[in-house]
Amino acid sequence: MAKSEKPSLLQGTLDLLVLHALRRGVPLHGYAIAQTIHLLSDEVLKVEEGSLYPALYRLELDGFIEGEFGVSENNRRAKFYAITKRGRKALDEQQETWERLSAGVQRVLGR
Amino acid sequence: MKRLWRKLLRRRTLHRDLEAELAFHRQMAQEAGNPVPLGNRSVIQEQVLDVGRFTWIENLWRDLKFGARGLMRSPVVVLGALASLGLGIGANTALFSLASEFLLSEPSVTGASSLVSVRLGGNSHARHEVADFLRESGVFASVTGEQAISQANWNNGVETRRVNSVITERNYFSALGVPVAMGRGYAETDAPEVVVLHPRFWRTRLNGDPNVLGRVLNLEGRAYTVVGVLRDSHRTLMGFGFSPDVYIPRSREEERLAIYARLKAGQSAQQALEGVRLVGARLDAERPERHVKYVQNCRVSPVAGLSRLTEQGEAVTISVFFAVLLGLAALVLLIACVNVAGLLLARASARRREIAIRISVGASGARLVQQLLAESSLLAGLGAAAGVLFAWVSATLLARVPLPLPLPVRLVVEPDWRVASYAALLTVLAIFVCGSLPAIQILKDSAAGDLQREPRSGCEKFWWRAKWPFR
Repeated sequence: MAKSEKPSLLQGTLDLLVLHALRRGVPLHGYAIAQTIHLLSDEVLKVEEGSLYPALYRLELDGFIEGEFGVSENNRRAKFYAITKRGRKALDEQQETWERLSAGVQRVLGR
Repeated sequence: MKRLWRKLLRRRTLHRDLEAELAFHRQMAQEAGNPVPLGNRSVIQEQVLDVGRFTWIENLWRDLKFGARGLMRSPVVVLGALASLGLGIGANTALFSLASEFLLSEPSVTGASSLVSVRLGGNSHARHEVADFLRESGVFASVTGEQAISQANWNNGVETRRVNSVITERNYFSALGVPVAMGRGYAETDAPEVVVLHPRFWRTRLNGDPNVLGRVLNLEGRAYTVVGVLRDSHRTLMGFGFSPDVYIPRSREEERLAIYARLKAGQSAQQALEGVRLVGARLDAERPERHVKYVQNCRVSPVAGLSRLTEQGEAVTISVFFAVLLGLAALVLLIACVNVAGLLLARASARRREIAIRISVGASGARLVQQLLAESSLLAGLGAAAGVLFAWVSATLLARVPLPLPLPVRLVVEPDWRVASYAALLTVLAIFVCGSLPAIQILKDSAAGDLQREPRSGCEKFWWRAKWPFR
């Protein structure tokens, strides 16, 4: 497998990416969330189901997102996730943490 | 907490939803021509379900089931433990229910918190003019009075007996709002010869006559008509389990009464006291010949709750008495707990192998302690149930024992929230005391990692069997 070509997701960043994908308030289903992350990262990041769905369920339990069954654009039953108020707060916090972290890593690597 | 709820609510639908979601995801990926690596579907499902599972509660349930099965296999241990814990928790709860009834019970009136006892001139009792004067002054919403410790001669047609009567102002029942079981309390509009019965008098002396209302009793040579019977749970204003036989309205002018009054809405006892002082001053002006002045030593004190206790000096002695008794009972429970801990310890040593296997397949120390605590909580729960039953029976019996007092004192013992929460607290304590000792012992033993610590020689085997006959 050509695993080393694509950077795998760093532990804990998936929650941040999912929340970010839902940030605009439009409810998305799981596949669309994965696609959004894939496209926004210029096809660098690829979210696999195996990590996406556990993350979605965990976020839902924490009350950061809310899932509801609806009909998809091709007329099929799908679960749409929307970000909650608590989720937005968590997103802000996690984003800040991430920015500090990545800036720190950058600084180390830049020397 | 919210998270737990969500888990509980979603548990049932989770599996089905997830399957639908994953199927949808795959379909979308295929249609878009995306080569999504087809992972093992059930592995993903397992991972998600792990998020949604509540390990803690499920483990607890498993432990309880396992513990119940284990306990059923050693009925002697269980019976011994139940007897000790039941007795320990029971004795404590019984004493506590008596103490709380004696010290903290409220009189049977409506709005006990707004009811106060009033004293003028330092006297607990005063002539009825004082009550009348207070009533007319408008300091209180209503004023009434009683002479609680009084006796009357009751002729039942065969012989004359002394009964304990409470002599009251005629507005007593309306002013206090005393609830009755049958009939009604008397009022100002009634004839002067009316009587309200205590349920115990009605039951024991009148054989619980169902047609007692309207029946005529010969009291002090006069014909009194029964208008009502109080409730079984009736508690008098005097409190402390005082239980008279009959309530009759005052007939003699010179009767001296303890004065009770109801505060107006929003009126504090302090404000009322100011009013009472003014009334006392006016009374003194009207009767300059009196030696003791009404205005001195006035008091307005609540009749219910803790405030009653702080107002009455004798209550301190009684509280200390009960505190000592409760302390002793707590010691009994402690001994019972140690006893049970010993039993469990014996069982725990007999279970070394089981524990060793659990550890070797990866059970953590915390997990083992949880299991053992679940078992002891099972025992303590059953013990508490036995104890509360025992407490209720014994407290009722104890309350029935006539005390060698000049007054009729009988406590109304009813299970209430105070007693229930006390029993629950004791149970939790018992769980920890009983359960932690064996748990610590097991953890210590298991640290040594002795999978095969069976007796080796024949002699050792013999003692082993003698020591743990229930294995």
